[in-house]
Amino acid sequence: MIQFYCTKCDFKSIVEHFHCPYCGSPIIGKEVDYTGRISNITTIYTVPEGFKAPVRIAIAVTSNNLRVLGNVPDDDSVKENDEVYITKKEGRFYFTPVHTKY
Amino acid sequence: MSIYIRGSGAHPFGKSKKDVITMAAEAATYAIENGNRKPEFLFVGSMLDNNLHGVANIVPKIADAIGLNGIYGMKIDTASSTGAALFQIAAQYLAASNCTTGLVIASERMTGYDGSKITSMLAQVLSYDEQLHGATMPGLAALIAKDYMKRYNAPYDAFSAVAIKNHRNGLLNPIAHFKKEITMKDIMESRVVADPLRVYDCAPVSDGAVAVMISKEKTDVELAGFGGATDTVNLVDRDNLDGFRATQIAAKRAYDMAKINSHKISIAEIHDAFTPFELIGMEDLNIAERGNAWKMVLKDETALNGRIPVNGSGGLKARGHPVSVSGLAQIMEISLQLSGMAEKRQVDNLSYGIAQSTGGLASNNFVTILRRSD
Ligand SMILES: [Zn+2]
Repeated sequence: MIQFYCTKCDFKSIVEHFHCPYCGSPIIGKEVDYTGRISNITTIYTVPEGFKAPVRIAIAVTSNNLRVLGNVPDDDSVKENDEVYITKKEGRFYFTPVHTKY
Repeated sequence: MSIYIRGSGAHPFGKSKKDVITMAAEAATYAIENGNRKPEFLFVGSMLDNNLHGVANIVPKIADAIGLNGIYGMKIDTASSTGAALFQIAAQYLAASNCTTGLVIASERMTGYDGSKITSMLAQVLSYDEQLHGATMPGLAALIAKDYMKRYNAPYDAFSAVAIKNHRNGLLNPIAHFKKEITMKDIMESRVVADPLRVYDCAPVSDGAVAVMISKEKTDVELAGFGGATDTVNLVDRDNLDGFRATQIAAKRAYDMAKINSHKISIAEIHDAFTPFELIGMEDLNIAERGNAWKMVLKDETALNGRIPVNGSGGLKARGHPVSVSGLAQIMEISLQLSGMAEKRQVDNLSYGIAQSTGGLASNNFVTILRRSD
C-alpha cells in the first residue's frame, strides 16, 4: 500500500494524487502497511448500476490520522471503533477485522 | 453597482410530462411577464440534459422557444449548485456589461427512470475512487450524518424534525413537489436508503424549472453579496468532516461583500439534500453555533413562525430537488419573501435573506445574500 504526501504542506492522502489539492505542490508516495480504526460505517441499499445491494462503505482512520474510504464485508464482522487491516485490490480498499487470521 | 431582482417564474416541481426545454421556456415566460422587460442575455443551467436526455447546446434551443433569437447566452455547470452559480455569474456579467436586464434559467428532468440509474448519474459528481467503492450521495451523506450524531450527541429525531418542518412548509408552496404533512410514524416506516438515512431524509428526484430576471433598474430586492468555493472531491482528503469548508469560505466571501455578519440574517434557504445537511448548513452560515443547529430545530426556532425561518419554501426535501434548479429556486424564494410576495409563507419584518447551495458532496458551494432595498 502506498501513502501519498505533499512535498510542501501537511497534506497526506491514501488516494493517488500527482499534485496537492491544497497547495499544488508535487506529491510523493511511500510504501506502508496499514491498520486503522473504523470511525463511521453505513450500509447502502440503493446502489449504483453494476453493484449488488447492499454495499457497505466505511471510513477508517489510521494511526497517523489518515482517513480511508473502503468497503467492509456485508455482515457484522466489522463495526464502528473496530481495528481493521486495510488492503487494496484493483483500486478498492477493503477493511477486515484484525482478530481474523488470513 | 447595484443589481436587483425584477421577476421570477417556475414550472412547478414534481413529475412533469414536459421536456427540459419546454419547462425552461414556461418558467422564462412567467419571469419575463412579471419582470416586464426584454432580457439582453441568458444564462442557462441543466445538469442531466446531456447525459440523461441527449440534449446538447441547450441555450439556442431555449432562446428559440421563447423568441429571444440573437441573445447573448451560455450554459454553466457546477452540479447541484448550478442554479446559484448561474445567478452569481449572471450578476457579474450584468455589472460588467452595458446591458440593463438579463435572464437566468435552470431546468431539469429527472423522473421516470429507475432508482439505480438516477443514483448512478448523481454519483458521477463524486470522486473516481469513491465511485469505485460503490459510494453514492446518500451513502457518503450517511457517513457525515453519523459523524454529526456522534460528535454532538444529536438524536435521529432532529433529522426527522427537519423533514417534518419542511413538509409542513411545502404544503404552503404552490410549486412544491410534496404538499402533504408527514409524521414521525411515516418516517420510521419508510425505507432505509443508507443507514441512518431513510427515504424521508433524502430530497426527492424531481422535474422542474425556475427563471429569474435581474436588472440594474431598482426594485424591492437587491443583491447584497455572494461567494463560492470548492473543496476536495475526495471526502477523506478534507481536514475534518465537521461542517463543509466550501460553504464556510463561500459564506465569508458573501458576508464580507454584503458588509454584514450573520446576525443580520432573518431568513435562510439551505441545501437540505439530506436532512442533516440543513443542520450543518446552518452552522456553516453561522446562523447556529457549531453543534447546536439540531437543538434549534427541535425547539421549532427554524419554523416559519420561529426566530429564524429555514427552508420556508419546503426546502429541497418538500419543494423537490431538480438538481440544477434548486439553487435558483432558493434565490427566488428569498426574493419573494423580501418583496412580500410569498403569500401563505410570508414572514414579516425581513431585511436580509441568505441562500446556500451545495454542488456535489459539498465540493463546489455557493452562498447568496439578498436584501430589501431602501
Ligand atoms: Zn500541499
